[in-house]
Amino acid sequence: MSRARVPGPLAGRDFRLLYTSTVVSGLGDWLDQVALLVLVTTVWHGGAGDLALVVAASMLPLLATPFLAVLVDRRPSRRVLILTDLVQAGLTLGLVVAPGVYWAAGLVLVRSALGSVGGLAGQIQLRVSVPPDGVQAATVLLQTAMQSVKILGPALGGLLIAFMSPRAVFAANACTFLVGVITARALRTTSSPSPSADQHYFKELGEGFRHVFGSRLLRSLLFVMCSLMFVVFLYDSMAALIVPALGMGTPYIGYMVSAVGLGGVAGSLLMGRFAGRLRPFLTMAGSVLVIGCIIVVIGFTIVRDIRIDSAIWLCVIFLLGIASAGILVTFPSVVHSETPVELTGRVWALMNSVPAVLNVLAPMTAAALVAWIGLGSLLLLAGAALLLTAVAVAARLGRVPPTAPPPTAAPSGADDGAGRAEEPAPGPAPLNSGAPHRETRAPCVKRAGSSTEEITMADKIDKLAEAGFSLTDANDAQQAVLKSLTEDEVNVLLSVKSRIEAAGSDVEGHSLSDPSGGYLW
Amino acid sequence: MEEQTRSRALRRKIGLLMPAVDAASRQMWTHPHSDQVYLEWLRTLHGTIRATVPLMLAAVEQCTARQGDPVADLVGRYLAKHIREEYGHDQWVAEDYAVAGGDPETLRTTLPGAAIASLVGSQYYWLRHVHPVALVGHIAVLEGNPPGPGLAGDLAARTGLPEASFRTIARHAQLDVQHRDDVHRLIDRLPLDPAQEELLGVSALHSMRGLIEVMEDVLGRVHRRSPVALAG
Repeated sequence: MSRARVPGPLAGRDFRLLYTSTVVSGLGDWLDQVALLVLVTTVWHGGAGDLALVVAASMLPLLATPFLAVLVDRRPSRRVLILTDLVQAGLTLGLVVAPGVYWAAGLVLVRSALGSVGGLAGQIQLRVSVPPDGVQAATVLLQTAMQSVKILGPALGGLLIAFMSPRAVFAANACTFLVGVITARALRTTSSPSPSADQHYFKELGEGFRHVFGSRLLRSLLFVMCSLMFVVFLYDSMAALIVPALGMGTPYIGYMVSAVGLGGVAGSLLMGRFAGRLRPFLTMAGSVLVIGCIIVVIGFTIVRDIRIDSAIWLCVIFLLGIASAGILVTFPSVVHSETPVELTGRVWALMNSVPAVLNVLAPMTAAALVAWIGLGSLLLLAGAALLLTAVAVAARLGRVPPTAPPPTAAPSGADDGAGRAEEPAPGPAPLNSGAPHRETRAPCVKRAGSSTEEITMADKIDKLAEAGFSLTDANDAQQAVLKSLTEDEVNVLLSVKSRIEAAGSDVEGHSLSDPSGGYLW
Repeated sequence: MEEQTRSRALRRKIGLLMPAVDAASRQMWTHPHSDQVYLEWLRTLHGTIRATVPLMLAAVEQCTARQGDPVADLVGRYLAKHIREEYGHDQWVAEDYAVAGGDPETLRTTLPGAAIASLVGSQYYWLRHVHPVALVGHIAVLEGNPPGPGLAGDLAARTGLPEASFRTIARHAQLDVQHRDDVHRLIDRLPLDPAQEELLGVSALHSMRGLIEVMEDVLGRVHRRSPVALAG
């Protein structure tokens, strides 16, 4: 009996579980966010200060993430997922009975910290749930799901709030965490604790920092993402002002968010078709170039007070969404490709938290700049900065080859943990992405040997070439296979070096046309 | 563009060592004393092929013990069917050996060399101590490149031995085409985790290396039997 065909990584049971958990929890996050805003403003009649308190409570734990990451790397991912989701379910239920904004902020603070921890565990779990050459496709799938949730979530949240109290929505979100617990318990794979788990805490912490700052690609990516996130959030935080300045009514803010989300879905699907074949930084540069051009056009339109049909703006914003996928998909692919499993938690925490911290500064800077130079000029400035970034990235990093599948993991048998997965990457979300801030979760695997013993992709290719393997004529599919070879596979190949070298000369001059069948089974 | 299935990826990995295997194979079949090489090859082949069914039985036992493991379940089902298809092939080799002038009784007394032990024995280790899916990588190598349809005839002409002594090759030229497709289909259906996929790849590449060593061993044994004649 033939089975329905499912997209690559979804064919794997554990990734299906992780994916389900991602979608459900992503939806829960959006419901929760809408409910929290309504609760603070409408039920408790809180002001801007109360709102800021809740937002800060959800953001602050990001600062602690790199320090918590060491503990995540030390434990089986599945167990971390189960535990964090279980406690988050309890904390979310706590919001149902929270008497005031301070209680709510406290609960959100702890929940956000646990969300970050669970997010890191999710990244690790993805790597053990998906074969190395499927990680990029899995990332695309998660990205597409999260973009879809971005469209559905607010709409569903608004709908639920219309019929239910915000507290009931929290209860619904608590259920999504429980779904996470159930799916994580059903996972068959989990990561092995970091081989350096018996080391001193600070030594392990330093390993994460050293890996990021010692790798040219990760260092560059971190710098690029920091720059991008800061600039993007300069205008993103002003979305509520931009829409009316373009001559559109308030409802268009919602339409714009949906257009960005739809564009993101389309862009992610588009990226999925080219997964593993595009130069990552060139793709990012191209995306940033398009986004920069659009922001410049918007800024110019506002400065000159030009009126354009709203439908055209929706199309433009849709294009913006498509372009953003180039960054949202590329970022996690590069991080996974360059990170050994045992460092995944620490590296992800660092790569996510640094740009996120800058995001906190962006709205304040944007507000000051709008007061000083005006909204249109701010957009022109942001657009120009994006264009310059695009050129710089293309010039400096454009030659970096397509990302290779990440190192293979050796997952342990299932222990007793749980999990949900969320979309990774602190990718620049254009125009009021307003993404709720539960940490993202994705892939990770254990590689044989410690990080210091690992051979890099470049080393691998070099060594194979030195051993006589002809790699120059390899097509894309062959290149992909070469890059996916694990260390042990490379070692077996290298052990046949002398035979490979001999093969070149030996095959000449013999009459046997087909040498196959040297051995039988 | 061709879809990158798991079996295609594995074939590409295997393909990296194919020039070396082909070279060893050519060296063997085009040897000036190809009749002696063929007899030695049959002795060696018997050493491995007599382990085929026991090896698969051992794997099935491991698969059965792994209740709830979907990979083991699929591998077990595949092997249960495949055991029937491979049963009795050692007898074919013995018959060919007899027709080629060898004494089939010596097949049972000849000590299989270290190359054979490494090729087959590694599978016992992996399937018992890691996961029985390792054997699928081994099978993908051994059945992934069936003999060409003309090889049996070519060798008969080259060695001067009766065509009837090449029936094992001739039969495999037909059977292994189907077996190759079967194992590739299995590989594409297996819900492998990354570690199992790595095991599959390492097992296959090790088997490729093992084949080269076995074929070199065949030539070495022939050389040791008649060093003077072969020196020229």
